[in-house]
Amino acid sequence: MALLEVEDLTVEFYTQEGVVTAVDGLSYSIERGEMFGVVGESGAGKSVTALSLMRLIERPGRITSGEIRFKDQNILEMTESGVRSIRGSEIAMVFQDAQTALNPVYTVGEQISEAIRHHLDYDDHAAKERAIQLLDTVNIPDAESRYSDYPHEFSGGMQQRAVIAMALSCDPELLICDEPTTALDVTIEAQILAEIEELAEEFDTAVQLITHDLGVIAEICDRVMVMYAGKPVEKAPVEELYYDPKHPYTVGLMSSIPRVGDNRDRLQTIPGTMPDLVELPPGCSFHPRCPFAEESCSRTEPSLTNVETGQADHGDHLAACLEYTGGLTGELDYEVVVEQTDAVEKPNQLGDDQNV
Amino acid sequence: MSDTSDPILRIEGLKKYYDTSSGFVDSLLGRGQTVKAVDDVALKLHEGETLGVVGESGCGKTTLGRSILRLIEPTDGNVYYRGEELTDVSSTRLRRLKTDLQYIFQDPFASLDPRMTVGDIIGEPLDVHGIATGEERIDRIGELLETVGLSANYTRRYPHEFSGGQRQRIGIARALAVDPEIIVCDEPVSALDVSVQAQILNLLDDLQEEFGLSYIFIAHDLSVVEHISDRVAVMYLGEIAEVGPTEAVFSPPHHPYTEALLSAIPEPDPLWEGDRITLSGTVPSPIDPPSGCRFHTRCPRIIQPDEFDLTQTEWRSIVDLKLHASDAKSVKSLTTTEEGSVDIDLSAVSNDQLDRLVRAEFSLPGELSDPEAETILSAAIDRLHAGEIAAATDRLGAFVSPCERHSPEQYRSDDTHRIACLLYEQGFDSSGDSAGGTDAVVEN
Repeated sequence: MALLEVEDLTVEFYTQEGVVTAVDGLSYSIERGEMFGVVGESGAGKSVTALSLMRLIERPGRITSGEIRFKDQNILEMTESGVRSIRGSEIAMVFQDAQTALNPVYTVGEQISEAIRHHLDYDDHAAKERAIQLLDTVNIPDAESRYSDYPHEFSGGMQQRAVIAMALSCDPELLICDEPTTALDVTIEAQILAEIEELAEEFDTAVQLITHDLGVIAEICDRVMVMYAGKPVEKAPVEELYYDPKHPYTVGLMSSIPRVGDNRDRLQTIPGTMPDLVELPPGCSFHPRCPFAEESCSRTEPSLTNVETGQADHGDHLAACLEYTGGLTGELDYEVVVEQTDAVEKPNQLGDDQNV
Repeated sequence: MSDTSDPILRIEGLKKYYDTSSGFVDSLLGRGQTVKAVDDVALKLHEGETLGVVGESGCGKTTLGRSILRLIEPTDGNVYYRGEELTDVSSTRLRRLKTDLQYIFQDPFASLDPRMTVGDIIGEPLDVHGIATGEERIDRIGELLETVGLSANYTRRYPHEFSGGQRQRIGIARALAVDPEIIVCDEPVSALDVSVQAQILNLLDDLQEEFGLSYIFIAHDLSVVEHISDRVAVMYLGEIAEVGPTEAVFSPPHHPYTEALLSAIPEPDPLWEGDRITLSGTVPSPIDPPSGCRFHTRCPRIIQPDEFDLTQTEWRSIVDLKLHASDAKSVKSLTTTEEGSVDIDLSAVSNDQLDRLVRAEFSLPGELSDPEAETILSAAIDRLHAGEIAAATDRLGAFVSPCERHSPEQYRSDDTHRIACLLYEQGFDSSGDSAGGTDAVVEN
């Protein structure tokens, strides 16, 4: 039994323009202690997925169908108080913007000990001691005197560390990190990622890491799910995804990242933009932007298929493209180039030559 | 790009200081402090080239970009555009010159007036500079929209109807409207998704070729800057740490700061096993920047003085201890926090135990490899045990790196690749990494 199993999750937002299906029939699972990455561009439904796990979707949004089983309990059917006891203690979340995640009128330390007192029933003194230790664990210098600082006295990186300390305060089994490093500088980003990885290992916590940055995923994740327009388009172990991507969107995403040390004059791009979620294109949502699209792509909606066997939703490496169910006449014609440049044998380039 | 030709834009000793005093009373009482956002920057931009400016947040990139175009008034220094000094010209002349100098803003959501149509946004510079009216104006707007890859029919729409990438294209069309020579691009792609980011970068590339534009490209993302720039300037705390042709700056990196920045980029390759250099701490406050080389408080390759013979890690940790001690309020802040130690009364612990706690906090070994350094360190910890932080700081004052004393040489302008680091200067020996290291003694 996996730690978390999401099955057929659909989340809709009722807006004036129409019904936005932010997440559409999403299924995935996370094992204990696993690092699971969710990658996609804005509007792909990554954050909505994360919020649904904690049942934090607010009006005009609604979870219309599906099951979210955490340790075999369906979160969607729990009572409000049942969810509250899980939120923050068994499933914790690190938000993108630490500054808004912290309450400006309470000290940082108090906000951390509050969670400890509430969930673990510690007394004031013990909670404070634990909070200071946590601050120290996430490498906040001089944790003891920083305990009584207010959020505005912390730098951006330190605020994010404090939020991570808060998330870890009750030894959660699942940590959801929603773009934890997007607002930070690269040097700080490297520190925070290293910390998340280290702490997850130390506390044996499963992590669902949501990001738009493929570099961040490569750094710490075991398995990855690529999302596009509310649906998963590819699921694979991290190495397979990078060296043998199967979905044209994943290929496009990878080749559009500029890399240090690569001498391409022009970047590969994915033409067009993310479709309007109110009015998704028929068939495969990606077909208007896909260089390999055929007529059948606008008629049939592909489902996640094993890229080897063509069986539905079963196996390690899945992609939602008609290619793998034999629905395409042509081939996906691209090539993954892993170049060994320097003497250090650092694969310096993952350029994809699309010969369309 | 050639260095013999005159640069199209020359920046000399540019400074922008801000005053922290908030109001009349503060300034009357002299309570204000000076924030040196940009401190003595010299750069050149040649015709048709792209000069990338990178650095962490708070290093003064944006302030630099804005003071070059006098969007904010620089405190001191000169900017010459084709030989004409921008910092001196009258506002009428400056306005005329703005047809040659344009700016693209970071946030495509905030930089377009939500109550103006796209046609008016792009048409505004045409009106202001009296470039086109009537039929001609309409044609020009349509033409500009098509140049940036949008449909000419969009003129009557409002900014909210467009996605981030499309809005950035509108911002670019607005900058192009006056047919500029130089465009300062301030983080033009940082708010965009990767697939859209690539489209915009390619567009900027195409436009440069088509119109012979010169760019100053400000960004925090090194891989983007590396991709688009001919030359790169790396900024740290208001100063230029390194500047040179992209290739020379990045492969291999020279300045320890550039090296650290480069190694911190998450590599989109799961099997990449590089050595990641983690910098300790964050960028220090520009109100009271560190002495000497401003990077010395975080530099992993900080130079050891000749009198000690420690490993680089030990030396870095000792300097960390010294820096922390000098602004520590209590001894406690210098000791590690471990199980049960939160409430320890430090005046009651034994000297040995305090010694252990302090060393653990700064990951110093039980005994330093250099006996002389060990003596000083133990003496300092003794003082800490007695509760005399100031005395301990005095003892630790014996550990002085040349990097704290000497500002790295101001660059000469004729060099193509300039590195502001003592490691690359004659006379400062280091553990073999130095480019021109000799045995000359540090003068003082």
